[in-house]
Amino acid sequence: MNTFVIEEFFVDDSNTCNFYTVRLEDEKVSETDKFYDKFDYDGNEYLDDFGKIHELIDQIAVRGSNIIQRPRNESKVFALPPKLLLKDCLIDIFENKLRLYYVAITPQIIILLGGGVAHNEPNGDVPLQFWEAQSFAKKILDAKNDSYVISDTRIVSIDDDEPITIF
Amino acid sequence: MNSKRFIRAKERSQPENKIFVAKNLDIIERIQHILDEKQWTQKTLAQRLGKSESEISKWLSGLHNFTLQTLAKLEGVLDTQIIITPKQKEYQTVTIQKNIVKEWHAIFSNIALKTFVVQKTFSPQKPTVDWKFKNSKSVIPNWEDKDLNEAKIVNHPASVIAA
Repeated sequence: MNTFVIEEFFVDDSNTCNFYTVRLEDEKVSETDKFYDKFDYDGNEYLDDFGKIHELIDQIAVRGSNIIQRPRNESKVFALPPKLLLKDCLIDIFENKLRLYYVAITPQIIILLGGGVAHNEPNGDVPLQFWEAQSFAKKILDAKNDSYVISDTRIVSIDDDEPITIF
Repeated sequence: MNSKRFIRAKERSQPENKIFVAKNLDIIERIQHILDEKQWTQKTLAQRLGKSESEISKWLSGLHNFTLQTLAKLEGVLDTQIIITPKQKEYQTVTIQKNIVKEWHAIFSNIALKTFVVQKTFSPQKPTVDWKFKNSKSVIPNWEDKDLNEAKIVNHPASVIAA
């Protein structure tokens, strides 16, 4: 996987939980923006499912992530709508056909990793973005304190004004 | 800087989606609060409901479309109301008010009875009231008890029953 940067997606002082996203260094659009571009337009068959995921992000920002994700000590990679660890993900049990993957750095900091349609494979395999998300998540967790640090509800680059770049 | 796509989606968001997610999270918050109070895990809840843990996780995902039947099952197992309608709230308020009135009635009955006892005791020509004590708790007769005077009034205080 190429080098990528972590950038703000929905970050506000009034948020209980802030959302970041990842963008490949050689691309202009973040993975979450791609997800939005793909589904957020009139006539899209998944527009309603997309709308609910978007609302979930908006609500979690206000209420905090603990409401949908109880603290746990295991791996921290999840999908929106949240259910369980991706390695155990049973994709056909949700009413929502879309998945937007994320990694929770802390309950107050979530990094969205991109996503897609859950049933886009004949045998119900997870979308391709699942594997990319796993890779993003591993690198992000490994880079903690090397590329970025946690400051309350935000993540801050080690190199002051430089973007958070992860190799 | 926030994503322009996110801001745009927020602007064109459908009210029903916002309400659906908000209500859903309200229900989840309520269920989790009850679980915490009961010191139950999701696993415990799953066992009591005869469901798998993954099914419960699905319910608590934030986007599950709860049916009334599911909510009824949850309320039955948790023995607590999850959703309270305005009418139920009104009924509960009336019930609480009735209970308060009953408690006040009992308190005033007690005071009135003691007054009655004092009056009877200090009247040498009249019989005294048998004021029963048991385990340090006074036995409060009901004012509506028609046999009260016959049952409780005796001729001398020696008949007081010790606990």
